[in-house]
Amino acid sequence: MNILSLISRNFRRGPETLRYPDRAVPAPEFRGRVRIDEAKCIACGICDYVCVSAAIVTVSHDDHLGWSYDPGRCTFCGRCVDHCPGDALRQEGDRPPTYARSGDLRHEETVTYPACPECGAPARRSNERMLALAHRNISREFRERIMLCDRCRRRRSQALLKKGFGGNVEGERKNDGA
Amino acid sequence: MGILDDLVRTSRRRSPWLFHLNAGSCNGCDIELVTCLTPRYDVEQLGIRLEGSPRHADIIVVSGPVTRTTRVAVETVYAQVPDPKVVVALGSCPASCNVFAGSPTIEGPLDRIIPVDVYVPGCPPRPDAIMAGIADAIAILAGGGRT
Amino acid sequence: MTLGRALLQLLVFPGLLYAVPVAWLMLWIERKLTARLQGRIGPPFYQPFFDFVKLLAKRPLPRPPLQALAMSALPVLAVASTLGALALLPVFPHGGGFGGDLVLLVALLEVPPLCGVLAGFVSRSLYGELGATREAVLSIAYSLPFLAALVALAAAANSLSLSVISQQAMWQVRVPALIALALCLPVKLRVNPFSVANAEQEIYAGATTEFEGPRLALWELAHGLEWVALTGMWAVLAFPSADAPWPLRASLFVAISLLLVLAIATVAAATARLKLAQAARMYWLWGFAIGLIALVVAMVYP
Repeated sequence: MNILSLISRNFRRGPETLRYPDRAVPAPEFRGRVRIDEAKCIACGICDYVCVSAAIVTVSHDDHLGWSYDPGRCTFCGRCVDHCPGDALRQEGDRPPTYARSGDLRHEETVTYPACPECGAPARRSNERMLALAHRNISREFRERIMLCDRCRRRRSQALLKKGFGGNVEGERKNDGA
Repeated sequence: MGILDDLVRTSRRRSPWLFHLNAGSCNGCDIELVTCLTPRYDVEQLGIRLEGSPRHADIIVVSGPVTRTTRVAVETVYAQVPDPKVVVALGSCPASCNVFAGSPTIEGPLDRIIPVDVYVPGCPPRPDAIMAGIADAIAILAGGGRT
Repeated sequence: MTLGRALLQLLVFPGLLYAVPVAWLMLWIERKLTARLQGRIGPPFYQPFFDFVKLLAKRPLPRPPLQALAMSALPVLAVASTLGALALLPVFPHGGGFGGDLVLLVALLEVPPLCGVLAGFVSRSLYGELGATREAVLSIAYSLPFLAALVALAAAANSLSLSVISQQAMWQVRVPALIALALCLPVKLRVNPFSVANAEQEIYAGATTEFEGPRLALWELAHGLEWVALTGMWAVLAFPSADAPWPLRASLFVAISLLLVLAIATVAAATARLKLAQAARMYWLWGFAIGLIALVVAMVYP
């Protein structure tokens, strides 16, 4: 095409601009800010471990996990979403907002541990995906045992061990000091 | 005088000139910034011009986590921009150094060196996010800017 | 030319009151047309006016006294000489000029590029010097066809008075001379394909790198006034309508200037930047060839 026809074609065609503030809708796969679903989180801390820019920081307490996230530090890579065993993290479909002061977008969430079915104490429990990664044969008894808190699980494991030696567990002195 | 102030304020809002400074950026944010000059986004419709000299600019857009060798450049350029001026931190690197935090060759987030007015998060931010950040900067500029 | 007439032409038409808004209009037309040809929207209508006011309202940084004086004086000189050149244009021929005002016009039109070169050096910046050097080389290059065309027109009309030239030069000389002059316009206005003097991505802002605030506002105004003066000069030399009534002459002047702006802006949008050596060679060869044709025809015709 020669230059004159190019000029006249461009002139006739007009602008292809998005008039501000119109904007194109992002693609469905767009990776925006990370959002946590506390119900699905098992408080393993893997997201903190794999985060490349320390945007996610997890702090373990006795009865809850403190999950803090700073989108200002985030690189939106999606490693946390990919590695989360509980599928508790997902990324928004649109851009994060601008802000005026460093750290303005940072927020903290609390993931409370569910209660132990036996004693009611806070119990950090596993889930299917972690079990499948860690163990080969998972019996029904094992699944019940992992729902317990640390103390109850240890007591049950001890009871099983003693039963395996053929002892009378109920008659044993209950040593509840630990 | 009221009408003169209004005129000055309007002209600052309608004619913001940009200077872009790369303080050690990987160029991702820089590419998205110049994408705003392309026909699809066209910041010139807002009167924005990307200028060649910091002395011509009102808004300084900084990308990159300020390496040791660019620190002096950032301080010098900031001093060369005449008032009123606004600083925009582009991407997550000037806000927090992103993955480079703690490195011995990084002089730290941008607000350790010059005052920052607007942060545009993203790695890299979308061009329309950059335009939204520049619109925030324009609003600050029209309100008087920082001296 | 009486004092009253001179003041009228300097301050009203085609001087200050006409030239400054039309300068902004021409700058806007150039940017808008470039945007349209590139598929963009471009700036809104009042953009050059807001640019000017915004620059005036900037608070410049202090400089050493002599440098500050020089940097303030140079853009003022550029604006003043361009306005003077505009005042000399014979839009209304009767009683508006004097014998020899072509020489004064050429001298006044040489001052803005000279101020630009000096501005680059006085700002003591590497990029300023680079831009100034390029501007100086280009001004030597285009002066050849520019002056050749004007001398040819003067020889054809047997006079150095602009109003006589614009009425009496014959078309055989006028056509090549006008082509040579039109060829010189893009480089004097620093647009593509001869924009190497203020190549934005290469040398930052060229000669105006160190200028800021009100001084830069005056440089931008000088640039806009150069658009008006140069297109106006071409428009005035292009039509010999001596007996038309003055409203028609004035509107023809404005219309031809604006058409020329459209043509220059289209060429600027459609071409890339030539290197310094390529641009200079183009003027020394082709520009001078056309100017030479105009000179020869002027000498040959009685």
